[in-house]
Amino acid sequence: MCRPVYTLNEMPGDLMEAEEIFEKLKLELRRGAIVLAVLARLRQEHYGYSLRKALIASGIEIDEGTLYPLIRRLEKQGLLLSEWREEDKRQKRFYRISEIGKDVLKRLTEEWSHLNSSISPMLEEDES
Amino acid sequence: MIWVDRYLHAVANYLPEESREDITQELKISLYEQLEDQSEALERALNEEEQKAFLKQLGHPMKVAAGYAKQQYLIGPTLYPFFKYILKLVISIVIAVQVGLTLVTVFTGSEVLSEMPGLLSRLFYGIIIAIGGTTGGFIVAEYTGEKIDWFENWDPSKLPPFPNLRISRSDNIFNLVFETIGLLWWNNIIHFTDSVTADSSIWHIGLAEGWATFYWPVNIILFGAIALHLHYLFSEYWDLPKISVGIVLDAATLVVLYGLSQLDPAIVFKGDITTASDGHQRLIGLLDGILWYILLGIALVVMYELYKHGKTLYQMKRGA
Repeated sequence: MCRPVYTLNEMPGDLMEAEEIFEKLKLELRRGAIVLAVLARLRQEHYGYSLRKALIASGIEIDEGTLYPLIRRLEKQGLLLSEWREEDKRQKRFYRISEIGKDVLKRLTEEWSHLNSSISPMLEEDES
Repeated sequence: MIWVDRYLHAVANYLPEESREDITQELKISLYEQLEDQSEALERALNEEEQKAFLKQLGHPMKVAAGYAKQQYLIGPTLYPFFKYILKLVISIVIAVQVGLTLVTVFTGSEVLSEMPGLLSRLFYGIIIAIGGTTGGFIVAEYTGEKIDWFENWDPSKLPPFPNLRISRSDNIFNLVFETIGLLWWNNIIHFTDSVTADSSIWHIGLAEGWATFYWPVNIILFGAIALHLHYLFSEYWDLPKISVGIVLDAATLVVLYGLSQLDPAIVFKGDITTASDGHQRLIGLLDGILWYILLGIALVVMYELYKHGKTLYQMKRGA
């Protein structure tokens, strides 16, 4: 069955509300997953913009307003290490995962797998 | 890249000083490289309009800088329910105290109308100060990470059988105020006006001797009611002992009110009454009538309380 496509202006009220709810829930759902993706990507060293490009290349869209504060928070929590270094005649701040970060990533990955294996059958059940 | 530099400067203005340079430098490299990537894709330098469009989609400088702030809210979701609860309590106390003080002032001689603007202004400032003080305290608690163990130290055995068995705090506070005023008046600590004008002369009236019989019963009831309502103020839900004591107190109050309504006369002239005319006697009769209606009004309020207590007891029994 085809879903009707609306522009935002012609969308009926209840659909617009559903769209807003969906966007909020999507944000909530992505929040934790992005931390996991950032930690995983930073097993290799990156500076801010190269990390963002790597995430986008992997299908994780994220704006700098979200990514940069997040990596700073993770660094403050001791999950990342950083250093300023010159590359291509520019001073850049490079980030990589710390030992604590690796341990947290391992446990988060296990949790992710557990959630995934628990939720997937439920979702498939609903689909059928 | 003049627009990017202006944008970065604007973001920097909203950043905390200790990390301003660090964040701005990191953001600068990112924005420069993004613009360079776009130039490369277009095979030409971006014009000013394109640069502005790029900056527009990054978001307002204040919003971008806010992302780096330590705390994005004054009172967080953990403290907020407790904040709301305390704020309601504090505002109820302010209103009750101000209304009580005004009632005392009105009945001790001042005119009602002249007291009203004062009450409204004291209420307004009282509530503003209450909101400000409570909010300020909670902001400090949130900022310092102070833990409030109210949510942790709860006892499941105190859960009510029904959700509507919660003790009304506002009812409680208003009861307390009126009972305190009543107790102070009954024990002669505050005096309400006792003068009436009749035949162009001022007469002082007072309670008849029969009231003395009720001195201790009324005192016991008022003391008991104040102690009970003070206890209720720090309790959240009704339980069997609380509701039982409440019902006993309501019944005792009704008995005493019935006794008071039987006094004849209830009000007498004080001082020399040899010059009292028939008109004065009619006035006393009228005041007796007014007093009877006041007692009836109080009895109706007590009966309503009794009905509410009975209903709560019934719900409690049904849920048990």
